[in-house]
Amino acid sequence: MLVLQEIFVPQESVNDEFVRISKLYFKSGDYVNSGQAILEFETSKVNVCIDSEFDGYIEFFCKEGDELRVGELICRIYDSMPCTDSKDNYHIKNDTENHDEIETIYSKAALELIESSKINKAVFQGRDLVNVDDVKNVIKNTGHVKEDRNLQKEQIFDNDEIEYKTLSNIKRSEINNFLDAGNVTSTVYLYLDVKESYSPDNTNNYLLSVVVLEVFKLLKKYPELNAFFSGDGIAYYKSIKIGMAIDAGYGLKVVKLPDLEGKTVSEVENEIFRAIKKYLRNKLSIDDITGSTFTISDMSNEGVAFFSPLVSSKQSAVLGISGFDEKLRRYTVSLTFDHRVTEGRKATMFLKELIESINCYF
Amino acid sequence: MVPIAAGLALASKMGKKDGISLAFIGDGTLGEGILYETMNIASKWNIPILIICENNYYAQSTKQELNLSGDIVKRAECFDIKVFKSNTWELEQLFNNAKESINYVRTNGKPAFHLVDTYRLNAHSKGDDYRDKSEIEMYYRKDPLNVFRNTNPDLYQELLNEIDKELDAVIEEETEKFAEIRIDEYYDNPEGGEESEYIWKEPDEIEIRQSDLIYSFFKEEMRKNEQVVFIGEDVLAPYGGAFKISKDLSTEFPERVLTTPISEAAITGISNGLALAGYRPFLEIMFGDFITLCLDQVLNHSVKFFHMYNKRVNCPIVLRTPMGGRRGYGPTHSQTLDKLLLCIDNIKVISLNSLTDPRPIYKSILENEKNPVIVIENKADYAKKITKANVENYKFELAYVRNYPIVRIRPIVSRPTATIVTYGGMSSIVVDCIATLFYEYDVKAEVIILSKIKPVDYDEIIRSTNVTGHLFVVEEGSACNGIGSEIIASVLERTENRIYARRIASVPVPVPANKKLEEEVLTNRRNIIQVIGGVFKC
Repeated sequence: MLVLQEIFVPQESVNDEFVRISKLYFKSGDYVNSGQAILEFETSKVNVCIDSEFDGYIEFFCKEGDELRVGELICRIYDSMPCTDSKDNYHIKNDTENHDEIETIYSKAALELIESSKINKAVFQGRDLVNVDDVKNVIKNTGHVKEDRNLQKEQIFDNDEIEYKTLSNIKRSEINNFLDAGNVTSTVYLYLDVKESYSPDNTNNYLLSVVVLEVFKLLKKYPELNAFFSGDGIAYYKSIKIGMAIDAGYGLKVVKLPDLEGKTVSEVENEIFRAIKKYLRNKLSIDDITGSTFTISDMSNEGVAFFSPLVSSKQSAVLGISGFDEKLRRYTVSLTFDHRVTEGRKATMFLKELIESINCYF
Repeated sequence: MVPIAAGLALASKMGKKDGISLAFIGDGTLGEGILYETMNIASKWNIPILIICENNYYAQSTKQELNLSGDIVKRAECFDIKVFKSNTWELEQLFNNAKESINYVRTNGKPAFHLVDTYRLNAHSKGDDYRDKSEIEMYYRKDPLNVFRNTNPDLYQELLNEIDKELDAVIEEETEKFAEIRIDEYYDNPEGGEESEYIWKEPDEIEIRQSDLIYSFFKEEMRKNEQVVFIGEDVLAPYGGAFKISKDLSTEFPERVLTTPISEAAITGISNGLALAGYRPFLEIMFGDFITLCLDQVLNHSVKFFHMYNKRVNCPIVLRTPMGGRRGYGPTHSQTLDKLLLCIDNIKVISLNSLTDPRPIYKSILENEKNPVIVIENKADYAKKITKANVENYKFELAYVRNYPIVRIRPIVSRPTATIVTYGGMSSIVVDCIATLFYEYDVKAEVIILSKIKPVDYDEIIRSTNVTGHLFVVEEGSACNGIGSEIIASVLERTENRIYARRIASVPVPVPANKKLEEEVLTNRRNIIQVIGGVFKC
């Protein structure tokens, strides 16, 4: 039984120490899907709804009406049904005890992160031990909500990494139309046909490496796919950092690959292998999973017919590779893009050009 | 087998019964050292054992003149053991001596040695006979049974039939009862059966030295239970054992505290005999390094009797021995050799630690075990007081699993991120790493301290490892083929999760006497922190 997600009470405003759980949409043991609303709580000012980030079984550590302290555990999502006998979840039992009297101990690295992130230590009250992951969790939980709400107001300026261009009035009104329709992304699909001699079983990450490398090269030609929409303009990244979506049991992570400039396919293969190894050993640092500018999601081993992954925040497009169709001897490749940044024709051109260059390898 | 016979005879003597033991050996056995250890002890302790040596002048295929020096009779006489001499061609003298030697042993309560010259007419096993044909022929004609058959063929046949009938009846009876025995009747899986519930409790503070607690167990139990016997080298008061476990026990129980010569093999065998006779021998081996001298008796006898004799006998021998270094005792007195014991089938191995009261452990052995148990004590722990693990914001708990304690130290609230399994002398050292591992390396450790290390109860280790995904086993011996290898392999067999596993063990080299170097060689706080911290450091 693996814990996929732990949800703690986020700090919604500086003034609130407690929140009240107003609604639980599920009960412990239920199966929830990623993106589904799990619960709502009230702060002194607003109602906040929390969504699941994973598919899995949920276990609550509170009930409707409970007052929880900021930073306290609300629920966990597991990959399998949580056992109810005491042997397997003794910690969970203990978690619900009142531990307010505990004087929290911080690890050295946690203290440094608290200091640099200017977090109020009060959010950790009741915790026994706080390490870097705990601090990151708090940052994630509190930061996440803020980001959604403040995205439109966020002011972006040119810097070392970004070149910012405000939109024309026409483009802006166009975007408003999308927003009214409730959708900003769209997807285009193309087939990647392969030769008779090709067998997907013996290639390891060869296909993925080729895709990563060719995407890297092609993005230079399509800067709007290496960008993101913000406020009333588009922020173009000055460098290309490919992120690779990995989900092998420890949660979906987008791992940033290093600069691929001048690299060969086999070198890229090595980088991918290294990233997967790091993921499996749970040794990814915060730097490894932040700052990618374009995401590739490879589901070719999962037997998916076709799919369109979601565009990550602060990006404008994501490439999806579906499973291999034995009969038709082809993969389906998708590009999902932010319509506020680019449009279908450009996306299709990118995808076509990409497939042409990949074909040279097979 | 001779020391085992001596043990049975000693049991008879201690129980004030008039039974004696008869041990039959061949002249080939005269090459075994344990025979002389046993003769020495039997003579010194007046053990009523009669050793009958059938001297057929060959050890398997090798002539005696190539194997034996000096005089067989003198070998027994030098231990002040009375010798009777006979042969199988002069039957009247043989019968007289047989009767006389038995009477001598029984009336005097002393050992005797009956040397019987004879000759083997057939091969040692099957077709392996390379002796001179004329020599065999000569003895064949001389053999009293053959002579009797030739002179009284009818009577011979009648007697032979009677004997055959008697043997057939015995064989038939046993076959009927046991020929159809199933594997599950023959083998009781020690890890099978009812799984005991884990009830975790915070143990009481004891604040008494471990060695004093072990002593008090014996003091109390020897008062209550007359079958408990304390055996070992240098165990009499006032010395009271090299590590002062027996202290003054010999004053209160002079009959049941037996100090022995430096003869680990024989005293293990004698303990086997006592155990077979229903006594509860607790044998102290002064240093764990010397356990190798006991191994033949344990490996080839103690652990086998129960199955060899169709579960009609038990051999609940208990060996206690201190292992481990950190006292500057050098290469021959500092080893941790538990790995040699863990590979023996049908045995329990227990390892004491300084966080657990040893008395309930010994009590459980006394009350529940019917088969051999080896208890490893750690010489660095003897002087330590049994204390709680005081690590801030960690909980110290203890549960009894299949009668033996498992200690767990875990974060009060947090989900742990690393499982560390350890035992014995390493326990307190690992506990000492917990706080640093957290502060310096962000590791929230859950430490599991075993006392029964063979067989290991895996449920708790697997539960914890499934939560943390990281398993470390810390041992004081070297890693190769040790308990770390065994635990990691067993956990991987029992979980479907991806586990990161590491053994943390000593350098595979003789333990040096040089204190500073010894600290480097043995698993220590620094390398535990380095290895575990290194894994978690991003």
